[in-house]
Amino acid sequence: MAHRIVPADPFSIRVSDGEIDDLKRRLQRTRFPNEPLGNEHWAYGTNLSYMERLIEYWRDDFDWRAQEEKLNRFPQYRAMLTDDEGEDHTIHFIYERGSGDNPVPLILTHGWPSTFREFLDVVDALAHPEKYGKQGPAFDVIVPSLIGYGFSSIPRIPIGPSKIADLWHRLMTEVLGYDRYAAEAGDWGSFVTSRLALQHAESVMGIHLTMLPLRPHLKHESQKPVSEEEGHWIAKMQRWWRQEEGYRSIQSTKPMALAFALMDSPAGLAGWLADKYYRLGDTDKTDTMEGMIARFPFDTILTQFSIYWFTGTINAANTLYKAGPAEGSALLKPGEKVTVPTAYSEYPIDTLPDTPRSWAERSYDIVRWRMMDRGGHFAAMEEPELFADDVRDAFRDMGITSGMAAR
Amino acid sequence: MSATKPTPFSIDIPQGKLDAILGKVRAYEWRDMPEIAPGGDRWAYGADMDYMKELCAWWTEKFDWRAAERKLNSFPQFHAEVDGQKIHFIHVKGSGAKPENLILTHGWPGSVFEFYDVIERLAHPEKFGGSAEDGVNVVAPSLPGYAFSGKPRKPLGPKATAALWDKLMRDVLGYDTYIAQGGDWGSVVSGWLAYNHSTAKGGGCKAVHLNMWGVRPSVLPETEEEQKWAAGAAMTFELESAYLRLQMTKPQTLSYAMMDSPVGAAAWITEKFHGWSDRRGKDGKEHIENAFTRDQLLTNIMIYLVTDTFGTATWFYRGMFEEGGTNMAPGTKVEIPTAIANFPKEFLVFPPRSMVEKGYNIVRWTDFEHGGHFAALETGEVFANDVLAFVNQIRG
Repeated sequence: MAHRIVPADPFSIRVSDGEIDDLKRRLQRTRFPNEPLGNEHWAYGTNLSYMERLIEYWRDDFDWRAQEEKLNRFPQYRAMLTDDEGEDHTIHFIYERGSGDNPVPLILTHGWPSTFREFLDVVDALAHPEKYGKQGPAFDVIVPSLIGYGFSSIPRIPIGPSKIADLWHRLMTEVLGYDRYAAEAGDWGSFVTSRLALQHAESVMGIHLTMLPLRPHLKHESQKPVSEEEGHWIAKMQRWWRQEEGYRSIQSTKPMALAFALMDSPAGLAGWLADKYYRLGDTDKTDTMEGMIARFPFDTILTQFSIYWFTGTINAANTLYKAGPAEGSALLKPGEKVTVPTAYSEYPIDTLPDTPRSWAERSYDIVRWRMMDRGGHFAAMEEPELFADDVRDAFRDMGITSGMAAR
Repeated sequence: MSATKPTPFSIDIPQGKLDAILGKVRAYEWRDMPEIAPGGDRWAYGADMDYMKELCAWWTEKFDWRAAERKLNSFPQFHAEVDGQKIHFIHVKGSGAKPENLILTHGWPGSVFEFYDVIERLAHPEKFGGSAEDGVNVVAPSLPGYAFSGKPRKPLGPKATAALWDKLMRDVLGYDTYIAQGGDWGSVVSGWLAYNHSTAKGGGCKAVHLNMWGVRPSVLPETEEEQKWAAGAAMTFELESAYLRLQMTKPQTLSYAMMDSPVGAAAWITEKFHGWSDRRGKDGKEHIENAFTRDQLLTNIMIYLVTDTFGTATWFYRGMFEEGGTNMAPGTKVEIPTAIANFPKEFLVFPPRSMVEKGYNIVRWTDFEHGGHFAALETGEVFANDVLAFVNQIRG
């Protein structure tokens, strides 16, 4: 049994009136770019008509206070942890205690360009399945803001998923007092969660991923040659990345060529991020405008963007693309593999669709494999019920149920 | 397909436009940025915030756009419509009795301003101790989507631009033959002029002077030296090509921020002027202002801002991509006389001469001791003298 040795302070979000006024003033004087012919399907990047409607809504109709109230409905805390190099990190997190005796502690980690808001619509359903007529397990739900994101602190020097995973482990053990816990994530969260499973295997009961970031050391003798199916998939992925990697490329090499603009222009921030929601969300691509709005209502997507804006974290968030690769933590060492039971659920619209299971099994102990029929990269926002059901089912299938994680 | 007569033009930006830009610069809130690892390069992550603060202070307190505008207007400028594209260009008649014609093409994130210190030297060398006979007719257009040229309705690339330039020189200005010069995108446009619009192919381009490796022959590196170059170039590309990949695939995604934030656009551009120039000073230290003055940097930045062309300028990368890249057909090369001006701090390093010769008919190759990517702006006298020497070589 672990002891709670680090305190967590209750926290709620309160953006000042002055900051809200300042945002509206900036939106008021937005200067939009020209748009090339033929951008109805966002072929050249974020669509202008969409942006004009989004920015008009943000300026005239968006009610931050209402969204803030919604965010604050869940209990939030901040806890400070000092890392090995002596730097203090403040971790912001939602902590919703689950129903029943000894719910399963579950830490859900968001990615870029998202925030803890991504999981807001599934917190209650995961903590209290009985309220929704669902079978357990019930979870103690922990949703942190990544270091450098949202209401967590900005690191002095950008840190990567491996270091963040160590902080998450300490959050779960030293702050919240759990011995063992489960974890769920996609995007950068899946890097953190995979590192958590590698670095703290004894504490992690099981993980549920919607993205598989670890890469095997293919040259090692333990690795079978790349199969035809894997080869095709790798080639397809590389082609996709050539078209899509611009953002990653700049954020991983020169984030501060970009930062001065994104910290100054809320419309610019929205334009930079909206592209990813269009590309990776399961939106109706026949009517791109209505499809985008239906999938990501203005209030939802603007809450995401507003969190980046009000916390001034876009640059710190982007630099994860520099810190992550620098850490080299996505490439497994020869012979290394995640031994924690892993459930993978692939949503049809995402960065690496049709992952061969054989590829996943090189890096993970895959015990459950699901191809979802709808939803995208932001599944918890896009399909909250489907997502919550799948996460519950996955951990139940893995035999991880309430009462297992004695405190 | 048509071309109109040139109409004179001079720059006169409404005060309201300047006030709106300067207002945003003054109101800029400097937020904390990550610390660079101790001993690290302050520009390692992009633009150095301390330098951006200095530059912005100068911008709001000392920089005088009207003075810059007077300088820009000191050469005769025109607009002409070529194949439906409104093209802005400087046109200065040379002193020579039978002057050669020279078209100078800038690149990104530059502008015709790069050539302001060389135009006079090229058109009127007698003012600089040279011979009036050598003075050439100088034409310096703004690329489509850049500065005072029009904004195309969709991306145009360097190959399409070369076709416009050939018409500009021959149909608009009546110059049957000309010599093309360029760096950055200008080297690609000039390369296409030499390749597609040479006098041998019915165009007007009779010689080309390049200060960057633009249009390339479809050959693989062969010698050990060539392979070593290729490995180095691949490494540079990996570290330095993000802006290119982004602008080539998703110019719009970037443009919302850059169009709305003058300081943001200034940082994006300044990072390139820093990274690609020869910053070595006499004191042995490196600083961006060893290559450019603040006024020079800001004049160039302001050209993008007062014309609202940050976005459309980045379309050029996408245009290049859509028109099929920058490679010559296998087994072909530029046949007209070619000069290579190899400046030491050019970030896209020229391959060894053996490889360049597979794509070009090299008649002149000069390795310089000083200068970078923006050679005309960084080291105008040396640059102009090399171009004039090449022109004389062509005249025979």
